Amino acid sequence: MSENGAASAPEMITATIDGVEITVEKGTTIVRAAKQHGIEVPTFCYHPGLSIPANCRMCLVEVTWGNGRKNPKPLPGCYTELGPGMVVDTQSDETKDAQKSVLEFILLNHPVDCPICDQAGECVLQEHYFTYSAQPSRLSHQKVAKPKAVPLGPRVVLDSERCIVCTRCIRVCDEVAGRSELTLEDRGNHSQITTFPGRQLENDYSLNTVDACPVGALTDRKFRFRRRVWFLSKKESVCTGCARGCSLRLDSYQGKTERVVPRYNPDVNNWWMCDDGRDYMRARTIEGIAAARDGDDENPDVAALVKDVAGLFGEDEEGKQTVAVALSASLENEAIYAWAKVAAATGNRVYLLRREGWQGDDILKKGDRDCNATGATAILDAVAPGWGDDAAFAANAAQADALLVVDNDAMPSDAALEAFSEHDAAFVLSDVDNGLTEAAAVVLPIGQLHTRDGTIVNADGWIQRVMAPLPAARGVVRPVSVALAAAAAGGVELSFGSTAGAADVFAAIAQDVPAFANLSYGYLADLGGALTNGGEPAPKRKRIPGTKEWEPDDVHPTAKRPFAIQRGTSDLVTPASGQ
Amino acid sequence: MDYTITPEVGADGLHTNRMVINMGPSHPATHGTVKFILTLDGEIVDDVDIHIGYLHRGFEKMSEQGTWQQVLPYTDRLNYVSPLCNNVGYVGAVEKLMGVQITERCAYIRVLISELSRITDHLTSIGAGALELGGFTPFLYGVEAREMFYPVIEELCGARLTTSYTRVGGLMADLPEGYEQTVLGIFPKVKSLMKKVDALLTQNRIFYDRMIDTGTLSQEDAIAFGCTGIMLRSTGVDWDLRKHEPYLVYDKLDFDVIVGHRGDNYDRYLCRIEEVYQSMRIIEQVFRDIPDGPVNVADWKVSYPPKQDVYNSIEGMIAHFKLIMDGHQVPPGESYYAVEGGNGEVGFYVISQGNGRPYRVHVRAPCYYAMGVLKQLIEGHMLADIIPTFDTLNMIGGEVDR
Repeated sequence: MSENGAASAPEMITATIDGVEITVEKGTTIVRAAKQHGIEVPTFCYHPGLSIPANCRMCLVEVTWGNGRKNPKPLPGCYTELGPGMVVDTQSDETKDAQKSVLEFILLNHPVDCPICDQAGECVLQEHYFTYSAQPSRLSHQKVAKPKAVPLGPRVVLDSERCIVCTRCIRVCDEVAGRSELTLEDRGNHSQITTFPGRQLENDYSLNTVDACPVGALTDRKFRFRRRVWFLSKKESVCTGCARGCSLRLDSYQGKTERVVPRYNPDVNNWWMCDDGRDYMRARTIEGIAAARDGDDENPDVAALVKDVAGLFGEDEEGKQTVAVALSASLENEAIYAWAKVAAATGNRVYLLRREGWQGDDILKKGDRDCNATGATAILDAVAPGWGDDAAFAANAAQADALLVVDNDAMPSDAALEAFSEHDAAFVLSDVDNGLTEAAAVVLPIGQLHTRDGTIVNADGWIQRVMAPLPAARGVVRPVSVALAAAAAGGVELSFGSTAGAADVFAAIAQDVPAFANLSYGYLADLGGALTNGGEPAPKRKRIPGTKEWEPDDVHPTAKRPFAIQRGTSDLVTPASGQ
Repeated sequence: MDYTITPEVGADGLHTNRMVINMGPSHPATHGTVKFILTLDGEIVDDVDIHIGYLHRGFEKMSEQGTWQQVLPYTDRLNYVSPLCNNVGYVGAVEKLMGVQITERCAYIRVLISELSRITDHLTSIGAGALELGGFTPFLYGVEAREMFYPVIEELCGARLTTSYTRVGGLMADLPEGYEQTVLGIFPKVKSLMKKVDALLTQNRIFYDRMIDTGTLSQEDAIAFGCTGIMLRSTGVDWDLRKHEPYLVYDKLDFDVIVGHRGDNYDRYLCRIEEVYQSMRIIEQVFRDIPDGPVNVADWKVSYPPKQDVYNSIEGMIAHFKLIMDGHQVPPGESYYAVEGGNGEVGFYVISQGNGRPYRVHVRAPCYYAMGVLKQLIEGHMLADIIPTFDTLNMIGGEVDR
């Protein structure tokens, strides 16, 4: 669907799948057309985000051409385009027979590994076998033995026996990472995935091969043998590692993050995610840092520290103090907004601290490390005009009576850190131990962003909810709560009450900040949405009826794609064009 | 309910106050834990308030938590005196919903285990009934006979009470070797014990007087209150699911439906005695007719694959894994399947939403309906008549308080 409306209307064709007459764009494959109408055609090698090799043959379907002649053999549904008048039967005896035969063939040399295989429970081979075959084995000789724990690189281990040679991993490297690091060697039942001699699988997107692997052949070295998948608590969230904000699912066990997998979001990251993002997210914990106050031997009470911080904004005998309020651009919008309101209303200047030290790429990683710089800037422009950056903070810190940094893993510039260290009344609200907490006179733990709900806006103006995938830690306070205490001390009226949840604060943002107008938490659930900049939100993307999958772009009228994955340049070999 | 007593003075100047007493829930004759709040006028029961629910465990709600097969052990604990009947009933409901046709050998074995359970149920009821009327010896004979059946059931499935013997699409295992001799071998002794019980009770003056014309239930009431099984048949209604809505292979077997004509405790006792003999008759025919062959259906989406295949082939391993972890994939819909249990129609009503777990499981427990009519049978009669009436009603708490 074209954004500018200049493209002519696509040619539509009408065909029949399982007795249902459907009309789709010309060029739509059988598998995609069936999926759009809630009909499942089983596949292994087909991945909607990769090229189509049609090598597993699981999607074979009985096809009768538009001229009424039945194709002598079943055709691969993933590769065959639907033609006008074509009749496809995914339930015929011929189709079912083909499915059973393919599964028997694939399972012939598959090891009896389910009890020790990390994929068991979410294995496509298990699901397809049980749904489409459930036939006993007829194998009368020994299975072919292959290498079982081959480290392909620093992050991925290969079990060749489990591999069904679908080549998804090869295509992920070729087409997503743009570095052709994997290949297939040998033929027939000796085929196996391997790296080139002397080379490793070490690109920045290598763990996508593990996600793409339909079976347990490729495993993440950090997740391997850690936890059975059915014990994991699976929560949807967003990566806060850079300004891309990849949609993801965070799998945790008893509050500890065990695995991070990307979640399909056609407007942000498609199916993929970088390895650094996974490392960053895996390091998110529910452990709060210790509260501290200069002069106290023991860890002070958090409630007392909240009073200390709130007191900065009150009035005493000497009158009002000036506080330089510095906010991390990796904080959620709700915290930014609450603190900006308090600071602006008490006549204090707000500064935005940025993170540095990140090399972006032309695939997913953004050069900007802060996950919410767009949102923070929009809010500060509206609520605290005249806000300053790192340099302004470093320059003005000495003049302020007190410094307050609300932090989310910020890495301020050396100058800003030095100014902070030299100040006597330097307060920090933080969730990680870093240079700021070392230098601060008072440290108040606020918990990591992933223990709260909140919204962040990526570099392309796409806003998503964090959705609290981890439980809150003990002994921490929400940054919004501290802001509310400060507002009370400073006599500032806020439109949300002291018991406000993240959704209430966001409602205030939607009122106050034009960029967020007319947005709500309900609208932002799942995939998020684009900033409205005063307009109405776009219609929400729908799920395919009867499935948990999102309608792809070509059936969603208002879909727009702010980025397309581009092929990078490889220093190994140039990937072949096409497939 | 108002239990306030107004003092009354008779014509002779004596106080004739009515008296409220609690009977149960820990009274030895209120087995299965039930409580009667009785308002007595002398020895006559003027009013009774029956409280059930002391054994409530939330069976139906628990059933929604696990897979279809994981519900089965709970069914053992419904009527725990005839657990195999419940096992047969539950898997029957699931199989009906899945459209599964079980093998003929399996059907015969399910008949066999149903009748074994019916015998243990009736023996318990007869023995315990005699005990509570003061007859300790017939109780010992009854329990001795029952104790001959429990090792037989244990040999079958490894447990005396918590059998869990059936599986969706079949059974836990085929019959043990030489099972025919094991079962039929105990029959002569059981029959001789039954004769002794019969000789001690049936013509016994005291027993007869306590049982005859007490707890009398009319045909109309029995039908109106939904009574089934012995309660219904003792009133003279010829209704037995095994005969009139035959399931499994009961239509191929020759047996009589035992009916009474008075609907009192004595008739219920006689029906039970006679049904034990009928069950033995059925079991003898089962062993005569049972065909060879598999006990589980061949479809691995229904029956667990043999362990040989699970441990040695990836196909069996996956099928086993999916059946255990995800459960049987039962198509969406609902079904009701009922069997003739020890106390009457044990029905299972199950709803599936098309996945591996039940959306709803409801049990039609025969005792629940019999408990509804109990007030009718007690009120206006002697306090002592509660004991035989409650005994022959054979209330099982696990089934009522599901």
